[in-house]
Amino acid sequence: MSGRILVVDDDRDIRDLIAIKLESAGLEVETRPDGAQGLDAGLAGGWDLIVLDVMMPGMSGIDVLRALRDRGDQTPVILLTARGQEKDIEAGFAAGADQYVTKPFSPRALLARITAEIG
Amino acid sequence: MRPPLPPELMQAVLLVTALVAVAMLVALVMQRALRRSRLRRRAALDARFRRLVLESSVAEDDELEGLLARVRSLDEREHDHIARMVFPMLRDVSGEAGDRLRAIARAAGAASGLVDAAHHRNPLVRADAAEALGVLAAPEALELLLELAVDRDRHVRTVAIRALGAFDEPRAVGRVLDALAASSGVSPSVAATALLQQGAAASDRVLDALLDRDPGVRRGAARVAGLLQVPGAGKTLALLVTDSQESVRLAAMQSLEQLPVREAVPALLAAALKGGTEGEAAARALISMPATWSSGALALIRTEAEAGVRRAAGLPRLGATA
Repeated sequence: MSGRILVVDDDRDIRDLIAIKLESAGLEVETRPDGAQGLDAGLAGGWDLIVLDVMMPGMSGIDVLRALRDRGDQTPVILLTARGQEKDIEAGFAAGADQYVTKPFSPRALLARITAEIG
Repeated sequence: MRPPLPPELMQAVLLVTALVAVAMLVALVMQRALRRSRLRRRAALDARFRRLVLESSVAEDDELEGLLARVRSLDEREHDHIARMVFPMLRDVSGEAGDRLRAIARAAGAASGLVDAAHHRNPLVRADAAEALGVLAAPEALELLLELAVDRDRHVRTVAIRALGAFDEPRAVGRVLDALAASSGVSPSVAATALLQQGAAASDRVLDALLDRDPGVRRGAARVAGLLQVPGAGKTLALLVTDSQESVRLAAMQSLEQLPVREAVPALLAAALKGGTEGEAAARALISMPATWSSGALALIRTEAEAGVRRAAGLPRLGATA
């Protein structure tokens, strides 16, 4: 499988865990530790998919997604949300998210969703 | 006006003040140095073991045992560090990777490390241990959790009961069911949630608990029976619609919405015609049943029940036309 994936999450463990799982499947992965850096990287373009954590200090995942869509970027986005945050899911879809995964999440299931999304 | 202090005394006071200030400064510097050294040590351990933990969590089956063996061979300080690294990750990770992380924590001896904490005199430490044992879900954690589920401290019992939800063994199910009793001091919703987590393994015991002497147990079992869709529970739930305790009756009616049985119709109709909260719950249970069972009861509710019950049954106001 090939593809360039951007992972934006303020939790280093989760960021690295996702990266290592996706890399083991042959994907090229870059990570960013916060929303502002995630947005910069997202706008630089060239991604097949972006994984965005919703709950990040400063710029949230939904803020990043909204800013990307406002600038016409249509890269598929999967949101990582906390369990029980239905409002985030609603806001995420309204902002243009393609899918969401609820924490605690299975990296294997996330990989399956990414695979389905990027084909 | 008071006379000034003698010069010798002034000097002594200044000296003491200066010494105290220097001592405080030294203590502060030492504290910072210690913190920096601790952070450096942690960073060094992180650099050595972070990759090992992350790779183990996504490793193929045939690679896993080798990685776990490497974890087992480490020393106590390294084990502690790995356990500290893994526990926070387990909050956000589930599935196969979650299972692997638990295996890593077990290989690092995290469960045995919790034995002392589980017997600590401070209840907060015991509660933390119970939570960690539940996250680990290791077979050796079960015995400790069964103990903590009857701890003298209510908070510890609550955490332990919640943690027992991760175990589907009969003893774990039995202990959680016991916690439904009002005398346990554990919130019924905590015990009910643990039973739901135990799932099918709890079904048979929940069925028995529907007829328990303790009304708290009957109420909890009645609510869980519907959510778990316990096979064969419908007929007993029908009996509980006329239980001596209102909370049991309401829980049975709620569960009959998920497990409808025809035998419950007469008791539900009687409750609906009495009105009030129970009447509304009975009406909701009746409309979830096949129309062939409930049509007669609903016709009576339409003409004889109070407005709230009719609304709960989705019936129009009397005299209203389409």
